[in-house]
Amino acid sequence: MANIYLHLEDGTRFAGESFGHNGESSGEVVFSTGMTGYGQSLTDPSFAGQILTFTYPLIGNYGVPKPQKIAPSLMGNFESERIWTKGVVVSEYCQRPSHHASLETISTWLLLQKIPGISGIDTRALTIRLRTQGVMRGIISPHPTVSWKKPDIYNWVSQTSCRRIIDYPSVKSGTAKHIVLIDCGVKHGIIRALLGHGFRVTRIPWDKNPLDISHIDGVVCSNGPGDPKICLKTVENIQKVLAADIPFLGICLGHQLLALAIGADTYKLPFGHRGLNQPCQDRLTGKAYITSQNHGYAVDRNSIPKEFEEWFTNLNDQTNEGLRHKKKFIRSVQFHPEGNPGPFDSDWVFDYLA
Amino acid sequence: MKQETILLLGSGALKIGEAGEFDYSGSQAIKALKEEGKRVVLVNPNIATIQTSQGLADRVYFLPVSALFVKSVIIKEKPTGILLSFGGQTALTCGMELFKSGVLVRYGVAILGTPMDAILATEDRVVFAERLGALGLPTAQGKTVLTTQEGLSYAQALGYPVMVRAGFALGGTGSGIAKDETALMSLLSRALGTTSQVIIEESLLGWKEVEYEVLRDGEDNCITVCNMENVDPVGIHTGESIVVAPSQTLSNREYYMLRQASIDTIRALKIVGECNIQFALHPTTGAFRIIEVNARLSRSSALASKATGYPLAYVAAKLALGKTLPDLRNKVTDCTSAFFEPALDYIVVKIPRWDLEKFTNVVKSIGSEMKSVGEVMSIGRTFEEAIQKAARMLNDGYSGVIDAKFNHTTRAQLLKRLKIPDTMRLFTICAALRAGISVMYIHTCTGIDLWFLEKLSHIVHVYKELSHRVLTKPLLRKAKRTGFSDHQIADLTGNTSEKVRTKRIQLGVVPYIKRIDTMAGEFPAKTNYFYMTYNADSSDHAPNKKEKKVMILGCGPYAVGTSVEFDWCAVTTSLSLRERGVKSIMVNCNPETVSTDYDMSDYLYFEELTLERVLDIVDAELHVPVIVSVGGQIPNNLAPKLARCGIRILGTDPSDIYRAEHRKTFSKLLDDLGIAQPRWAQARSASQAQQLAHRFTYPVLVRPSFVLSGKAMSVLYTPAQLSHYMQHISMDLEAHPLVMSKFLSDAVECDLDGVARNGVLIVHALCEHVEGGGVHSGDSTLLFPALTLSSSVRQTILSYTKKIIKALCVHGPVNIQFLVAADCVYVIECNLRASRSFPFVSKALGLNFIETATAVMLGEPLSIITTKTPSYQVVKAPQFSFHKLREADPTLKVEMSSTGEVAAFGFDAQDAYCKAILATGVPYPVHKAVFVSLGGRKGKLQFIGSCKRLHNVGYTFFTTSGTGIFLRENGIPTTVVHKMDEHTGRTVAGLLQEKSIDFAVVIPDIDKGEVGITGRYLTDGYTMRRLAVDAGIPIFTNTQTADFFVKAITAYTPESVSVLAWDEYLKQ
Repeated sequence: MANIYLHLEDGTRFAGESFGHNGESSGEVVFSTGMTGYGQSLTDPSFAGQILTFTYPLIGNYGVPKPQKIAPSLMGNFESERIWTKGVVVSEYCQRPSHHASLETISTWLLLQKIPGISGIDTRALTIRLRTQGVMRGIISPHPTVSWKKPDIYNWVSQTSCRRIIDYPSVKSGTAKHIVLIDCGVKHGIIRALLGHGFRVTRIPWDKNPLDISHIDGVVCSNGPGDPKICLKTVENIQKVLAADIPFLGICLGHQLLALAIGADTYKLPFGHRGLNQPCQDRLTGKAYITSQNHGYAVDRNSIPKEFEEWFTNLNDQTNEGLRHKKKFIRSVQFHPEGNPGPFDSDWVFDYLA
Repeated sequence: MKQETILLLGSGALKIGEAGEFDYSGSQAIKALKEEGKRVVLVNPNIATIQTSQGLADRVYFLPVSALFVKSVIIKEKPTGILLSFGGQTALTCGMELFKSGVLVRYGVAILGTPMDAILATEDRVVFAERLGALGLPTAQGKTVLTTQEGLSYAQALGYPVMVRAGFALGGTGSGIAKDETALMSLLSRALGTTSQVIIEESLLGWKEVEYEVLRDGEDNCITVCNMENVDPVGIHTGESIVVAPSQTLSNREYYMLRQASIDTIRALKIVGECNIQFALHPTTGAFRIIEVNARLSRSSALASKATGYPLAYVAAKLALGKTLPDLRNKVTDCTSAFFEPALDYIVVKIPRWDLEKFTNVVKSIGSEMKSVGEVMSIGRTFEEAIQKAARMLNDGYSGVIDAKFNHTTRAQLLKRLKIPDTMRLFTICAALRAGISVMYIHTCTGIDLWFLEKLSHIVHVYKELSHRVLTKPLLRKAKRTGFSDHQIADLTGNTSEKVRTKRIQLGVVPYIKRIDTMAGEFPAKTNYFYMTYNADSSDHAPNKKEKKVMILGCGPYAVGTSVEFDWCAVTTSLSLRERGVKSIMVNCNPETVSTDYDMSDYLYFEELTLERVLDIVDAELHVPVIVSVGGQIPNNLAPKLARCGIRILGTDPSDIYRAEHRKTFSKLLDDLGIAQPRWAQARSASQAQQLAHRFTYPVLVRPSFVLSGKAMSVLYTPAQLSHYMQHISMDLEAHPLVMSKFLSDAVECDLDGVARNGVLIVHALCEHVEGGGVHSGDSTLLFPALTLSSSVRQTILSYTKKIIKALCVHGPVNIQFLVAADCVYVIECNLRASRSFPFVSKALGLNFIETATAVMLGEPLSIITTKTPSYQVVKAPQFSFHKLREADPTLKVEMSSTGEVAAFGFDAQDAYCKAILATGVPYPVHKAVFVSLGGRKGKLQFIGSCKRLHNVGYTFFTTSGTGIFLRENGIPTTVVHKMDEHTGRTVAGLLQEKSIDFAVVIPDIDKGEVGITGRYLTDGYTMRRLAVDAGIPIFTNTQTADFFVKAITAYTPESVSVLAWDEYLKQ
């Protein structure tokens, strides 16, 4: 029986059954087409403030594993310490998962983290609505009617970023290159990937200047939630890094922030790229890669200054997927080379920092 | 610039392990090549395929796919490239032979796509393991052994159980799991009998089995299009397993770990195009092994194409021509790239279709060898919905996964059956769950992941909830969302299906149409590939009222008797409708077919062919008219039911279809028309049956009037056989009387296929069978034009046909079967639908009967088409798969047992048959030695002429003692070999295993009751026939076929037969 509703800003209402926290929650309703990786997605800070719809109809099949901390402030099997989505929309959630690593059901997990979940929804119908109308605000509520408040302009990056500097020593022996990671809401997968490539990593809050850290070999700006234009402080800091001729790699939001730092523009996509199957082509080599993505904004390919060129292009809609300085090592990718969830075909992107 | 010619090899006849999927891959490849401006030459003797139809390839050769014939075609057509990966193992094997013999290099033919080196690496398990091992990709630990002794000692070291695999084998032939030394010995002796390479491996029994379909282009861009998980863990051949797509129980980490291994593997092997990679994944440790790589399109790739909407074969063909994945567009959306990995927003379930009831003596358990003859695929938004749909799609009498057949099965029986996997495993599990046997216990017995068992348990839970309950809207919706049919709900709640349907429509519980778009709704799709689900609130598709549309019901799963020929009919109908400006709506559920390609119709519903679902689609599509006469028996059986529901049927009126189907009515009609038929009557008791048989005189043909599966039609020669038969079928004859008719021995059987318009025959073709009555028409060798019929007989046949057609007001396709005995013509059957031989006669004449039928059904005015008897001869030969069906008796009977067919053209019947029989895999004799055992006096007399013929051209004879005496009396020297029960000396078994004879003729002894008996039997004749099959020696069990074969091989050699293209014969 219907006991919870998803209300959309355009007046549409979907009735379903609650499988998480039985409260009210609002956010931008988005969809992801990944068929696996719900655990990674829900803990991905880039989803902060959003209500996530899974297009794959059966969610929770392999349960939720026991959180695994592989280092202080570093999760091994999630992308952060908590669920960041404001709500979860599925067709069916699995009540009896089966996996040797499963600790609890997705339902229990959502309940414990106080995140509303709504099941029994025609997620395809919802997705097509979002695709044709664009993403919109929504409210999950136990009440059949809701009142809409004016949305707050909220800096989700400040919420998801770390509060203090965290040092991750290199896991490999010998001297390691030192990477400063600007945390705009970083997925732990990026930290794991950097450590996996043998780097020493210093993770700093989003508004901190990387140049304050001594002996740095490169700067990585992470993914994160929301509109890049809110993170003016980070843009300024990136400009300082570029001026200091320090190698730079931007990922996802970090890519958009680089664009703003070099004078290019960003814009909001109608319904974003969220999935594990986005095709990106390296403009120089012609080689193509399947990538994991989660972003609602994109870099305007017509605004790229002439010392830069497009590194990657999305083969589906021709949007920009990466930037590259023609001479220096200043690069960025819109996708997630570390996967998690999804493929890691473009993991070699991290090699450039070595 | 001169147009480049590309040679494409097909897979020949449908057989177990190599079926309709290669018609799909070949026809897609042709489309892709044509788009690139290539001239396509196709070699494929399978005349019922779509790929061999006019308008696809530029030139078609109905020839065996063997090095000798393909070489002739190469010399003649001068292709610059050859495609080997679209015709299954047959094409690949032929390609390897052409390569090894230097033909390809000599004539400058490039192998397009995957290079030969990669093919050889995947075909040789040792090289394969080395190549992958070098890259750290794990394969099962194993070793090649050459002798039984070597095998035993290696297994000792490895520890039991061990896996035995025969190298270069298709569908797991000769493989198996040995739990101990005794089992290993028997497996090894069998495997070493069929191949030189036998591998013993660590057993991965109980590991999860997962497959990936992988594409790689010449620039090293790789994608995995789909992954699939077998519900049955390793130990059951993937062709025998229930399969889901995408995988359900793999975590993100496992999914992408295996995906990465897939890409590493395809790169390591340097495959260009498509490959299928099978993995075993340990359920708890996460360890994995690469079990197998198929460097070609496969059954799984066809399934993956249908499951995702991604046209794998089409794209693979483009890649073979040097295109790259980023160059190509996604054909479904038309606005995105082909370089992507489909995201599904539904779940797909495949269930294999077995037909073991059709075979005598066959072993019914399933394992590492393939036995299924077809499969169904269902799409839903819950597993429960999808698997229940799939169960119904099987057309095997199931209305869902919980089956009434098990109502009286005891708990003890269920517990026992759970331990031995057989063709009813799914239904046994559900019955066990229903009986309260725990999910955990079943998991322990079967190794099936708890996830699947919990879902099945949920179905059982809803089933119990439904019992004797008042149907409220929430309950009804829950039942439908769990995949229950109206019929099941009616049974459980004491209603009728009609009432349930009416009620749920009133309550607004209806299925919605969802589109398969490859991208989970992220981009709009331009194709109309649909399924229906109750797990939705709205439809993706709103029919356009202005469109003129016609719905075609397809053939459902392939089974013995329903095969690619009906798919040809359905596809041809769809294309003919399109040509006439009518939109076609295709309904089918068989992933091996071309009709389920989304570009073969304007709207494709990948759906159940049940009354309920067809009505749902008709409702959704604003009451379109339906064609029921081109998809074989399933649509034909639905016709009267649809008509009763007020659905408009195009073609012959359903009441007339009923008149032809209903035995008594039809018999009366024949009597009224003054047309002869074999005498028949119904017996309602055993004694009445005996009396009737006595009155008709033996032999008699018997069949139960109501049989669910195990069709039990038989010819009986003695009262003893009849009483044995009666005991065996043990049926309530009061309710379902036995139909008995006089069996006409030595009659010639013929088939008339035609199209009629308003009761007037407008085109027809008459085929004659080589084998007389008593051999099912599907197992017969067919001759067109008819060879021996006198002109008066032909005229009688034609006049009977015209009378019947007029009386039944036939309007569409028609097939009538006749027996001719002593110049008298008898009608034995009439089908008011396209028959199995429609593609054969259409192609033999170069005149498309289905196109004509479509025009008729659309009401176009057509006048009578006169055809002239061709000067060439076309022969269709059946393909048997007995070597796959352990212990099945290969004797031809009134029940069909072939799995496919081939045909060849020639200047005379021998010229054509020689090629046709070679195309079924029978090698041309090289030893000039034959084993003959002729049962009974009659068998001996019938075959003596052929023996003399063989003797005259220098054949040596090995015979059993009785046949030896008879041949020597006739002046033919023979070497006698001993049957199993006779004294020691050279035995039949020994002779057959020496492989120094070309073929065996073992004719059953009618008097000893070898024919007509149902149930298990073990006679000497059976043992000899089975030994021949297991040793891979061609065997003939019918003197007429054997005679025909002897005539062909004594008249022609493979070098002397005519090698012309189809169009060249037609021009003769």
